[in-house]
Amino acid sequence: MKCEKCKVNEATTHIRREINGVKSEYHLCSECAKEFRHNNSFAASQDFGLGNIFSTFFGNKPGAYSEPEILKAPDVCPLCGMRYNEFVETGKLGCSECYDAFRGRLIRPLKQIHGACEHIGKVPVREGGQIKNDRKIKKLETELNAAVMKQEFEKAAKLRDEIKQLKGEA
Amino acid sequence: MWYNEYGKDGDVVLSSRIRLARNVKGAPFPYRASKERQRQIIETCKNAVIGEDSAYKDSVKYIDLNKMEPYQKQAIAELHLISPNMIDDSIERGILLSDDNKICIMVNEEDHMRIQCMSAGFDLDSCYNEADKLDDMIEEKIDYAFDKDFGYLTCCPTNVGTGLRASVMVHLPALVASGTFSKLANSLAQLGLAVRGIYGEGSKAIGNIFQISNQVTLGVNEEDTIEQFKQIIAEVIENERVLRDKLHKTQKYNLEDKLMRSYGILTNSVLMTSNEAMKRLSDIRFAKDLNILDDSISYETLNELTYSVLPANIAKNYNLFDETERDLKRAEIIKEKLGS
Repeated sequence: MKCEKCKVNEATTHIRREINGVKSEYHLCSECAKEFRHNNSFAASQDFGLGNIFSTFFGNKPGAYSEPEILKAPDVCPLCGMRYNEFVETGKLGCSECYDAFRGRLIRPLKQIHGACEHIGKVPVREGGQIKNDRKIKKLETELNAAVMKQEFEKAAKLRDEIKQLKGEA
Repeated sequence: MWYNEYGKDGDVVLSSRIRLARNVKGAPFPYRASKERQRQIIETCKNAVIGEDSAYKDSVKYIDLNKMEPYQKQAIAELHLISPNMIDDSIERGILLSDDNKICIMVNEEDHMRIQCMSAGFDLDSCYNEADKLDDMIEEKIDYAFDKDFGYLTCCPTNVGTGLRASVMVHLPALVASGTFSKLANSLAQLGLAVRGIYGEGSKAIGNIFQISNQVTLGVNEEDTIEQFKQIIAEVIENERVLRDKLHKTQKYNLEDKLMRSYGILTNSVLMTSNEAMKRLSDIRFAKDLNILDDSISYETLNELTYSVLPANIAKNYNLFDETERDLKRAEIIKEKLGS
């Protein structure tokens, strides 16, 4: 089989990938495969910098092309000294603080593993009050938006008051 | 003990288990902690579970695994009270085990705590209720590593979120015999469940016994995880039962002959390896399901045999460290239990 890209060399590499549920397959020669990997790893690393693209748009940061957020994120956990690369190799984090240190980088792999990166289960009682409150506010806000869309203004006003109260603004 | 009992849907589901992974806030995970720190964690956990004012202080005991011989730990792993990881003593480890063995908290496994609650048959609800209760009690004493986005933080991100692993041990002889097992395993994988051999990750299935468990722990809550898992397992149970019936109807004499030959061998052998024992015990368990085995042999007996014939349990219970001696003993135990 000939390489699908250059159509000259013999295909030696089989690449399969799945992005947002769309599967694609490529049969490439070693040269084209190398290039493919380079380009795609570049694309992936740019994904992490999305926040930065927004900030460029909204003018939060000076300079149109400042380095992506991900490169500024710490590479070492301040508590246990775990390096992000070590985690990539072993699949194990060093301590609970690692989640905080590597937060931005963990979202993508967590989504790949679990299909989500937001905890909606049990919360510890002691620190749970605030979290439960936040969750309720989030739920009410969704309902509020729906009510506004449907032009149910009376309901919307009620929801807005309820949210205010939960936020302690009432 | 629960592992010998016959519970709900016990013809297919041998036992159920709920496991919660929990860690102490601000402390390195066991494999990154100093020995001193590992010992501190053990003390913290012991104090939270069996401290002076704990409701569990009389029924739960702490067992120091580092003081045990490898074969003694292996014997505990054979009963599924601990994972095979716990046998490695390079880390300070122990278990908090209840008198009825239904609660077994592994301390310093991969996480600081793995709260496990077990039960005979298909009964995940009682396991979860117990685990949840324990978890609440421990939390009064320990600041758990928790993050509002990621949930309960664990050493491996595959457990983060609820930290909940629900699993059942199932006997699926008809699914295996009919060649549909791999198809089932594939569809379970697509539903986010893992199918493993009897001893968990990387282990082979012996005696047609498998462990099925959920994989997703983030973005789902505990109730939904368990509810969905139960529905899928109910399907597996139904599938297995239908296939058993079908096999028996279509190949009655061949099947009965095959199964009862195993009974003949089990009740007459002089030497029996553990692998053969597991395989033949699966056959007579199947015979029991089809009502062709002598009524005097109960499921409880079969369950008890399934565990008591394993190598480390024989080594521990009879002080036998030679393989041939164990094979001899194993054949003897089986003959005695099966009443011949």
